[in-house]
Amino acid sequence: MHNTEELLKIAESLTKYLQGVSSEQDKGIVESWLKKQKNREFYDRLRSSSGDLILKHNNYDLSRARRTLENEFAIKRRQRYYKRIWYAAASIIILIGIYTLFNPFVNTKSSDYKDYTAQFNDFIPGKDQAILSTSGGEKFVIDSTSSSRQIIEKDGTTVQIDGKSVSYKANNKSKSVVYNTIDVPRNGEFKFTLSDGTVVWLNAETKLTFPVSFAGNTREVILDGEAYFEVAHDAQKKFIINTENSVLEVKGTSFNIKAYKGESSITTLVEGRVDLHYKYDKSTAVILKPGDQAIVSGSSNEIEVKQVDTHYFTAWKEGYFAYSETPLDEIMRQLARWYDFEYRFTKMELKDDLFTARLKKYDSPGKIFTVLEETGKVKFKVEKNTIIIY
Amino acid sequence: MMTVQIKKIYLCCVKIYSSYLKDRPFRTGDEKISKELFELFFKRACSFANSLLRDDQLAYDIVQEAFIKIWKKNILCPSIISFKVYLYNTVRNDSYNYLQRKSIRHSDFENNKQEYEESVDQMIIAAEIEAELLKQIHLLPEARRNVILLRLEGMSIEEIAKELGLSVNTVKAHKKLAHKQLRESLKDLYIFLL
Repeated sequence: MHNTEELLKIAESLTKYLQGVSSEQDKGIVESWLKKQKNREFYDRLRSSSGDLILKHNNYDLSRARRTLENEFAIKRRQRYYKRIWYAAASIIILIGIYTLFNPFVNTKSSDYKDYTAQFNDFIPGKDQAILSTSGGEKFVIDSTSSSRQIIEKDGTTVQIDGKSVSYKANNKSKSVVYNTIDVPRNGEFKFTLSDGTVVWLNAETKLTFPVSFAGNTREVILDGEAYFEVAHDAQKKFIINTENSVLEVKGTSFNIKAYKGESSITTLVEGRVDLHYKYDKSTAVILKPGDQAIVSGSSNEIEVKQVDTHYFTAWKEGYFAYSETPLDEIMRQLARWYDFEYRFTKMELKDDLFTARLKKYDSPGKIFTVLEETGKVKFKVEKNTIIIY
Repeated sequence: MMTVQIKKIYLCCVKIYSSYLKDRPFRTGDEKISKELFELFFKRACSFANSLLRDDQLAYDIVQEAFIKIWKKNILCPSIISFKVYLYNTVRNDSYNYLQRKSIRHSDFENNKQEYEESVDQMIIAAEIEAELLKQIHLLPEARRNVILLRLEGMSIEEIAKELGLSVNTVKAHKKLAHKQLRESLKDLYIFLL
């Protein structure tokens, strides 16, 4: 049944055959493989899918895995090295052990704690920062170090950069629609107001493309990442948010939307009303009421709607991370974006472990991981800039 | 740290065998060999895992763990083929285990187990064909290669021009030359790229 070796031989013969470098034997293998109805169908599907079945998921960043593998090598080397030292130093360690055991003044617990939190010191909480790209392709860094500056956009809109903020003043005469993009990197967050008065909070690793003034019939923006919107009411002009999987239409509401590329998009409505549909199928439209949460996954076009306690999903903009029965995988994703670290699960089942917690997001990561570790369900350690979960 | 981010193009690991890894018996515990195997086979294992799991990130993690596992086990492989067999089988088993633990079953799995397993088998062939295509793309000069890869990601010529900071005409020229070269090197395999 699973004769992988045979399959590989077929694959090899097939590629050679198609490249015109096959031997008689390859030809025979391919021809007898294609004789089977199922294989023929598969082969035709592959050919006619214009790259749909293959080459669709090509954008893997191998550097992370490469580093992980090299870390493993380094650990092994170190272990070998330590083993040698261990034998030599065994007697000394035993002596120190006896000393600490009988000396009441050595408080092992607090020094352990310090060592533990210290390993996370390379990672710091995020701060207000973003990169503004104008319609002319110019890029400006906005953070506490940037100086004031005024830019006049192509449609006459004034863009004012002031320290950590940016604001837009529309020139009402303009008819054309000009776009800007705000790109918040990992380790960042950013809040600003659009020219229509809509307030936007952007979470780490988020990109929002929006018109500098809303001259058109609708107010339309494109989001990749997580944002909280307080949309200014305008019954005449719908506010439309496009994400990888879903499209949201609103008139004036407050809601959180988390739509990172490659992940499900999750809309949580706090106030007002949202009309939402799967990007490629308008018939999937649902209407959300306050307290509703809609999940659109990339792989199926079904929209799942449920009632939630919205505070867990908007806590990030209040300076907290709040979790209620949240899988560790999701928590790690959020923390990694905020503190900008890489991480790795050594056991896949830990990904699904559920945690309920309320964490202060401006705290150092050492504190955060101490809290999570105190649950006794999971442990963390830092190895060469990667947090290992074990 | 503030750097202006441009889209990253990750060209995957389908390289040509270096002199180090010849088709003769080797052990996977050797660091150099392990690195080489990683470069050669990581990408296709991801493609294969992704066709089972339908989750890029998860596929990546499972393949990463598989490589570490295989390295730690220090397996004696009589040939490259036997390593590939081991890798695909490990990824397949780990993926099945994961799905089972999460009690996710694809509807096709429920309906007809045998048919589902056959289709999984076929995905190995797809992953291998893909690897050959990527190998040939990898051999293109850098500018052409970037254009082709961004194109495969569904970007328009204009978007690619902007991304790479080139003029539209230059991008078009690169694209044309790239396709010409690929048509020559891939022959009939080229149809999978259209």
